[in-house]
Amino acid sequence: MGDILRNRIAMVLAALLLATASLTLGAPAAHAATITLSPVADSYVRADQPTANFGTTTSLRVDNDPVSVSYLKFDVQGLTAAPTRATLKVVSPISSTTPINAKSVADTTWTETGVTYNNAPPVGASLASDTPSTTNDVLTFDVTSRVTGNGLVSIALDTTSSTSKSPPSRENPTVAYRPQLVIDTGTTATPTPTPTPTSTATPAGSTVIALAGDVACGTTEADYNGGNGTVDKCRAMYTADLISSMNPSRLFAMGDLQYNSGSLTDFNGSYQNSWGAFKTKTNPVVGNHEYGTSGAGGYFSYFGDAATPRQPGCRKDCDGYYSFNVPVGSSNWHIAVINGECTRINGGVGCAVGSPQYNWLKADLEGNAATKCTAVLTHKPRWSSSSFYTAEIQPLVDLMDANKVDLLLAGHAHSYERFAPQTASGSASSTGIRQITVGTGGRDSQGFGTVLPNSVVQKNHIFGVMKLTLNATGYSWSYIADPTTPFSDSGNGNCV
Amino acid sequence: MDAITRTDQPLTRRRRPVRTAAYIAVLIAAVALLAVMISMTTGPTPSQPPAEAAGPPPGNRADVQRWFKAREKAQIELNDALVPIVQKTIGNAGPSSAPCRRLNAAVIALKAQDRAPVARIDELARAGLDKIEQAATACLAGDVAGAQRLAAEGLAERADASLPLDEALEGE
Repeated sequence: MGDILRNRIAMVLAALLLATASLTLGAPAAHAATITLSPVADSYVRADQPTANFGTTTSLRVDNDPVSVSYLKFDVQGLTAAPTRATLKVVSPISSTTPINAKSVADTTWTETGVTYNNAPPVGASLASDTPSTTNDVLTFDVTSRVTGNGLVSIALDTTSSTSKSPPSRENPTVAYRPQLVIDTGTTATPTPTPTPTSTATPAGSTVIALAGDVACGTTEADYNGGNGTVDKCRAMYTADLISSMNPSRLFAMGDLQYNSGSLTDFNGSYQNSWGAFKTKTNPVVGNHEYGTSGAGGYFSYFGDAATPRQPGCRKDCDGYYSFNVPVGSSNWHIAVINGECTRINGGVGCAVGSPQYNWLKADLEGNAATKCTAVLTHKPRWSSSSFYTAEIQPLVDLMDANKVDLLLAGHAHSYERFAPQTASGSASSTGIRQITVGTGGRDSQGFGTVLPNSVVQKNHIFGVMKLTLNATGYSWSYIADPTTPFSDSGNGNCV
Repeated sequence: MDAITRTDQPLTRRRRPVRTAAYIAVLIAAVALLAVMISMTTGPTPSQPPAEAAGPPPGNRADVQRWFKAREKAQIELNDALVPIVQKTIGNAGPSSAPCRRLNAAVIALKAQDRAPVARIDELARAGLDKIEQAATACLAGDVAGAQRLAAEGLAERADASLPLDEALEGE
């Protein structure tokens, strides 16, 4: 009990140190791995209406006949160094075979309600192009060369197509469709203290991630026991200790984070008192139990925009899928988070071919094809040696396979299971996707049924988290178990 | 009878335990028969599958796992077939409409799958399918608005059944 008490005190002190450090170091944006900005101004100009201004309309416009050019302006703040990548994201309502081009605009003095064809600033060199392949396709333009530091940035969009396209503007009522500038800062997340001296040194050029799902019991559950749980249930405080010792750069929280219904009250009590210590470095994944509260409102309210960066301000019935980059040395890993609760989004078919989530993931993975290493986070796994999985994400897994995703990380099944790399159809393939399920974050344990062909490791009745170490060309994993349930599994892989 | 009874008294006393045992046996048989009849009449309720609840939670049962595996393709196809209806990009409906025919085939295929080994799971996994089948019928009849409404209702039923299905697999 003395050790446990000391651990608790260490955790509280660590949390206080974390809070103090955050306050002392000023704006948290300076330490965020990703900054997402909305335009401070956007508009378009038309050659056939040379004196007209369209700054307050809900759409932009690109066209070659009549010539129509869109202008966007962003106010970049929070950078401490040149970003590793800056991506302009714009939605095209219609598909096309002709690309839309993002071009540099040196002049940043134009105004949203003043710019017209006659006074529009000249358009400079092309930065990037992207072609809308489906309706509401998210176009991504690498504009890193245009974003070199803090300050105003102007970008123009045009096309050689004579079919006009009207991407939603910053005034568009559908928040998710508004333009965004996503900046990867190249810095790690908010600095954190090292609560114990037991963590091993991270190799240079690598980044340590902690991950697990299925975490905190509700405060009114019989086994909650003031947060201390029992020997085989409600062990979130203990897995939190493991994360503290690991001192990861990020925590991938793999869904079903707050039982039994994901209420905000329980999030602010149980989860906050355990894994909440790492909230500022957490990338959350929505799970099925989060939907025990209408629209997963407790989850989206607790995590805020961190759970819904594509829809800032959304706090209920949000899409729940998003992506970000994790800086690893001088490069990045690209991480896509999907919402595997397919019946809850996009009209109930949120994982089907042609659904908004499908189109988004397709564009996201294709737009990051140049990134060597990619992982996808999902709550429900595609494969499990039990019935704790979902086949409904298969169309998304097909996209992952086609786009050479390296890791599919999951929770949901309250056990640990690692698969050998396999194709989307579940056939062994050295260049396939490696799925690892880590549903041992504290809730309880579940068993297995029939072991699937490519399942390499299955273990239940354990609690713990995975230590995932990312490097520029590969990764290694090591399962860190609660000492009361000893177990180990480790290995490494190369990105394909 | 009285005389016989009297003269038979000693014998009757000797036979009484046998007769009592026979009455008890008949009574037990009647009670058992009644229990069987009641059971056959009412059947197991969704919240009371005692035989099924024994042993591991359904999510760990190999037969349940096989059942989910067997219906994967049909489920995925139905989801894909629903997209044009949900997104209202179906265009013209009617008996020759490809999206309507695809939806109809998909929902029929999924409904035709074997029953799940656990009644409660079967019930929850089939939530909304009747409405979606009606949507397909409306679609084939050229009623696009009706098809979209019914599909939305069916999908809402399915979404509502989603967490209860997960909890049923967990044995809750």
